[in-house]
Amino acid sequence: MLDHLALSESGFLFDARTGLTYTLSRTGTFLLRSLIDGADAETLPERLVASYDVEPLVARRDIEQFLFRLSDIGVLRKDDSDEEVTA
Amino acid sequence: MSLTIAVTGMNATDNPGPGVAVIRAIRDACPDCTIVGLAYETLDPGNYMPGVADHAYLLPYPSVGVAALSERLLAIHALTPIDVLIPTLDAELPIWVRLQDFLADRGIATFLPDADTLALRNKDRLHELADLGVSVPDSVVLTDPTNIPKIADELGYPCVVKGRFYDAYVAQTAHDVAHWFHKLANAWGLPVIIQKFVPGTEFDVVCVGDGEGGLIGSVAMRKMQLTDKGKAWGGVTVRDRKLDAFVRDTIAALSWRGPCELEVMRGDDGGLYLIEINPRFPAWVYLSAGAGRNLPWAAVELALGRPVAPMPPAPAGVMFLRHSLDQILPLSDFEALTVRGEIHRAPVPEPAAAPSPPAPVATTATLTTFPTEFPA
Amino acid sequence: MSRLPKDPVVTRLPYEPPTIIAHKNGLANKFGGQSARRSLPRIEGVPVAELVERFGSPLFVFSEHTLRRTYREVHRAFSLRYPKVQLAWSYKTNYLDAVCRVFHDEGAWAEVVSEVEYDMARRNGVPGSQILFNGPYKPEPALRVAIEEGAHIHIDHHDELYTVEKIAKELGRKLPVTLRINMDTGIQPRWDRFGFNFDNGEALTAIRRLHTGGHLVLEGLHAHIGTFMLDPQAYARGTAKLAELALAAKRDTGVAVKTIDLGGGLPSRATLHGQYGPGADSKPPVDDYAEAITGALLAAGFPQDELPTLLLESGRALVDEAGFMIASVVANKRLANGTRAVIVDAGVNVLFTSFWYRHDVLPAEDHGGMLEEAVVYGPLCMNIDVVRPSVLLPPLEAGDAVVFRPVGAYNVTQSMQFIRLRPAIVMIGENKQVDLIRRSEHLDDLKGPELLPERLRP
Ligand SMILES: Cc1ncc(COP(=O)(O)O)c(C=O)c1O
Repeated sequence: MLDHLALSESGFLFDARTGLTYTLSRTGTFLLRSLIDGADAETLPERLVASYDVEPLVARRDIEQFLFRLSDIGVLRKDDSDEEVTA
Repeated sequence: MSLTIAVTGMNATDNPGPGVAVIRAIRDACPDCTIVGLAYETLDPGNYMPGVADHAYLLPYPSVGVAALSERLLAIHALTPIDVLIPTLDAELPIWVRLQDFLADRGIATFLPDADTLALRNKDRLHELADLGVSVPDSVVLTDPTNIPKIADELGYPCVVKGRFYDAYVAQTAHDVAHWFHKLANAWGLPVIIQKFVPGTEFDVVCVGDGEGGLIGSVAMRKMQLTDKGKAWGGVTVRDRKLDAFVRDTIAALSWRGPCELEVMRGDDGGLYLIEINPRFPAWVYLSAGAGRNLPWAAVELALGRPVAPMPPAPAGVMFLRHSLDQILPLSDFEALTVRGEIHRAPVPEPAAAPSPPAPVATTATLTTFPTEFPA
Repeated sequence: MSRLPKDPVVTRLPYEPPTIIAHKNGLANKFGGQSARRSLPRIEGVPVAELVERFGSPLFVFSEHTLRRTYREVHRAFSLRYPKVQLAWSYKTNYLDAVCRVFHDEGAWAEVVSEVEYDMARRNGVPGSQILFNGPYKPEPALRVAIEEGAHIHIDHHDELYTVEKIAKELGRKLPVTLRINMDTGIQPRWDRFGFNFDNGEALTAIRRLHTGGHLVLEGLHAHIGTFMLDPQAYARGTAKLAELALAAKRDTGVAVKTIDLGGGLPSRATLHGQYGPGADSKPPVDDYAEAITGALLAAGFPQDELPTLLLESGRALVDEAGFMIASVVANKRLANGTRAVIVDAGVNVLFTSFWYRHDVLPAEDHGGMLEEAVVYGPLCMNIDVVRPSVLLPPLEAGDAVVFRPVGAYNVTQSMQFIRLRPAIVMIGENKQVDLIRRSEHLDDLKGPELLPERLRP
């Protein structure tokens, strides 16, 4: 459902719908990749803590802000509707 | 072993940097040289043009300072060892000039003026060239608008009001001068330079000086077509003994070392006046190769300490017309430059074959300080 | 805290916060790992973390080593080229006793511009004969004390000239005085509000007047042509004019001037907001200034036995680099327009010079992660409290320390108790010993002088 996003290993993101490009940090890449692969936003903190050396509270806080930012800049807006992925 | 030559100024935009032209000239003379293109912007078209750079790298803006710029260059040098560096942009020159010895110690040759000679070409010091015997229009350097009334006596009207770095306006009255003075002082700071207006025709001359007063070669051009910024979009080489002599004398007076572009006015009074010196190759320098006087290649050879015989004056009537074209490029090239700061179209030399670490990705240094005098 | 490895069994990747940065078309835009990452874990070998733990945050830190080194560099540049050189420490730049005493220990006199600064210098053990008293306002009682103690009076205007003349008459002896001169040295702004003008002849007229009055003797000429002067040639022009005036005074009055004082104004390594690159890159070396000033003096044509003593009142160039401000991150924010903001506990209340300078700001520790441009705000509830409008920083957590530099000049003297009290100040000695040289303030330091009218008391 996020098939308008082309995200490479390097953290380079191309939004096919808008033509805009972005760079993401490694954890940012990890999280967005999970979303693109269909992960439920609820599960992101768990996934992040499993792979990265971070406390759950910090992970939750950072993910919340990250997702807010993704939707704020329009990356999560889907092609065919106004529906958005939110935390 | 083939040479590796690094060139800056890959901004082949509608107000182009000279890098692509310099590279094309070098390629004409040395088809198997390896070319490293050094760019300050991801979107500089020269990074993506086929047949231009074998390796394209991003540099931090000169505004980050000497330390950061040299550090980055050395990292590039470790990956693709550079024999000669030809910088082409005004804003970066003071830094490379300062780093000449530092670079030479690390095996990177340059052929540039020293800091004092470079400073002499600053607009507010151009009048000092008169002391060296170079004909320049009379001028006064203004720091205080209360002196504007004196211009009528000292220079007369009309006169040209010039900003410290850029911009020039013709003023007919003291009132005009006051207007432009404040505008230019706000844009570029003080001083503001007031130059006597010389009615006549402008010629641009690309030169390479040997640093000991000798002129290695020069090509004079008259603009035939201008962009809306007044830059050459087409031109033709000209030949004039008096102009040749003027150029030779100017380079001799300055003992200019390396490339430069002289802007010369032939006044309606028949006199020649030096209006400005740009301390680098101009964007139209490929014309020099076209006219059989490959000045970029001469600069490479001089940097390497090879003897270069002075070239006879270039023939008149060689014309150039610039054109623009739309280059199709893979998004992955853009990604490579954006994320890693480098594109490789040729193998990276042996010792450093390991891919550079993908790590720290950065946004640009302070946007608010984006150089007003950059790119050239 | 968040970075402590929690589970020793499973190895997890080092954490950095998730971030996304848009590539802005057409704007200066730089990605690719070419930006150097910088941090400053130690100041003069002492860990920043240790300093914060011992003395709190924010914290001003001065390096005694740098104070002495800079002083010696400047003194050496001039004394190598000219036989008679005396530096006078400009108190207003930083009048912490510990800082002043380091300079006095190195041999500096004092330059003061008020009776308060005068008293500070005296308390630091500086004899009157080694104090240069400048400034447009020296109350008469202060002038009398300074004259009594043999200080060098730098006269700023005609009214002061009359006052000093009156005092001389009363004392019944001739008093040596120095005149402050202003002139066009080709730079803007021109500081022509202080002293007597050279270019229109006011200065020479005043000298003749002073001489015929018979109560004062011209001892010296002084000019402070501006501050943070990036052009050594402005000093060459100023020196040449002072020398010309001195020789004209000799010709007209027969009195040879003993001192020529070029004031302060040498730049530090700070970076002005409008400056293109780092200030340290474009700042001419002190040798260029020394060459300009001493060259002009030696070329002026003074008879060998009447070569005046060269006085200098350098302030910022001596102290700026020795001063650091350690601050701590209070919070991270994202502004409505997407801009990253970092709030720290030191604002323009203690870093007043942020209005003019792009202070270098370095994290004490770089935990990795993507560099991103940020605006750095101070802790004040005021919109103007911006300490860096834009700087590239790695991700920072609340509690992380950052270091501002160089901040040794004018910040301590101009810091204020606005919204917050002023922080502690320490000095790191040559042997890395750390001493508290000013404790952080208490409420009583602020409220002590206040009196409450009887009717408002409970
Ligand atoms: C008379 C005088 N001397 C010296 C100084 C010190 O100046 P700086 O810190 O620029 O060296 C000042 C500063 O304003 C001054 O007014």
